[in-house]
Amino acid sequence: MGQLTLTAERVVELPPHQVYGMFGSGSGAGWLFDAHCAEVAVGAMVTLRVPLESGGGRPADIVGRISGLAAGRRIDITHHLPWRGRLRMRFDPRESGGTRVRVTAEIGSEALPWLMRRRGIPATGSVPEGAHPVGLLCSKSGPASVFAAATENLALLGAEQVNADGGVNGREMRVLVGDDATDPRTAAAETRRLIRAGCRAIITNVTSQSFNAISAVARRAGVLVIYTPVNEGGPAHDLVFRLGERPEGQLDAAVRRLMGATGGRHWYLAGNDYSWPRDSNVWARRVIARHGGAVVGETYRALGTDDFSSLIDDIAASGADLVLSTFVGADEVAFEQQCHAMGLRAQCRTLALALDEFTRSAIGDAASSGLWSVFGYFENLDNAANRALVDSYYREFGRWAPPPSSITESVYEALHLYTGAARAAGDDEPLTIARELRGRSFDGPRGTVAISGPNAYRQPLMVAEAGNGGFSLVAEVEPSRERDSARLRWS
Amino acid sequence: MDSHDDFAVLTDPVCQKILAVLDRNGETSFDGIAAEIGAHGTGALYTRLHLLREHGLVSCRDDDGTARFAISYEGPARQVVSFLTELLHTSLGDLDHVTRRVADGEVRQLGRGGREGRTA
Repeated sequence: MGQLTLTAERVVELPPHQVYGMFGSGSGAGWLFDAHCAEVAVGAMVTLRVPLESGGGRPADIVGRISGLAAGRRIDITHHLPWRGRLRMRFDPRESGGTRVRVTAEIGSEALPWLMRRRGIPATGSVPEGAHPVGLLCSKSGPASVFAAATENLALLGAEQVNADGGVNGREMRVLVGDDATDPRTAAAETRRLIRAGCRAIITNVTSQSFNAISAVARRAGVLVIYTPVNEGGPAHDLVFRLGERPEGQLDAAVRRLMGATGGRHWYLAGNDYSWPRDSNVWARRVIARHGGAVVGETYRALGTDDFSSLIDDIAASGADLVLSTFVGADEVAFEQQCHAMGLRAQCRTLALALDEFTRSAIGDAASSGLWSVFGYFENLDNAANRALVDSYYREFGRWAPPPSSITESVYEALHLYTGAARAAGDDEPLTIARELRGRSFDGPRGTVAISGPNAYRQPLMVAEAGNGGFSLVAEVEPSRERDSARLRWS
Repeated sequence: MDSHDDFAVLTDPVCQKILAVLDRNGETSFDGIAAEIGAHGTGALYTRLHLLREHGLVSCRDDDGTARFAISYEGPARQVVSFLTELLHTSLGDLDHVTRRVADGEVRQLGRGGREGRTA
């Protein structure tokens, strides 16, 4: 993989320890793209806000972790979003006083085409002759970008395994990545770009509103689309497959248990303003009523909201003792951090339907402790297939790579399911592969998953509670029957 | 190297050295570049200069029979790299601005996780 190195330096009046001490404080004073981190310590998550678009467009977040440190002298950041790279800062004292600050930015090979497209310069991307291209559309920027790095890593890992096993009908599988910027119009444009580049199948891990835009373009072009994350379902189509957890299954698994564990029964429903949260809450009202609970409030906020204080005041005043959160990505991070900071945890327990490992770690241990989540996969699931996946993942992408989660691991499964279908079909024809996808199953890290139709995906579900460093299991629920949590091995 | 990939050109170590020489010296002859990055053969240098020209990253001017090369800022990939470099410099410029405000006492608290405080 190629790498580009950029450097810059500046002499400032303050001594090194003072400049070093300012790093990461955010709010206009964090310097280096207004860096923000909870602490300057190895492993701490850092967000840098980069104004990539001329004319004041939405800045992109560089998200990474502090990967090296020498107090007062050096800070290294390894990041995976929106491209892979490393930032190194050195603080050298000057004899005449002040500090020479040197910044080195090492930029991974995928950055340039992404930046060119972001700046409006065409960069289609090419596929080597004879390769089998598969599109991957994820959100490398915007509020849903927290999932993108692990999504891309797991797709690349899946493709590597497919290629080590002979590829797709003797041809190398090549994954072409698109970025929807968490925006449906960009999603449609990126879909067209991937199709122009030769993709006849696209795997997507985006919000439902982007997915609707993608599937409309893909259907018209006769391209197969596989949607992998949690989703609310939708109209059936021969070329459109929706995997992922469904709200009805998640809510059936978690609502009764959370009410039983806490004694709470008054729910406040809060989420982003698009189809998945709204449809989830239609189901939530039914499930909550079935278990003797009541809904005392329901509120939506636009994707990209970063101030939830009025909503949190409203929840506190509603008398709710339980919250169902359907916020996504950066919005979920901000919402939970602010609930914690404003003292709502003393009144309410929360079930969050899109709270995965990376989101939890971005929220932080203190603010995420006690939150409930429900998914078909968690990183610490202790079975041979998952141990092998997690080992390969960190060996390939390093210890600072964002953790795999249900939202992102689903892409790895989708690639394997797609490969099995393409091999069975024996050609690249999307409709033939789609026929082979129906009825196909895969024994992977989350157990056996099976596609019985474009809108039917069977998988086990697990209810888990966030604590320091990760999730602990509350219960496992099979698609058709529940079983004792003791039967599930959890590391 | 994929001759159609701007990034491959920009990340090639010999191309980077050529660009660094041209950045430092401005317009330079083939022999001048070769003298500075010496370890590479004439063939390798010629190939890289050809690629850099093909991608619009380097321009070439014939001056009395001696080809002289210079960085061209027309190449799209180069434009993006220039943009990133400028961003990095601007951000460090912000550091200068913040430290001056600290020195002047305008900003009295820069606590991590908190908000920037101001004197009354």
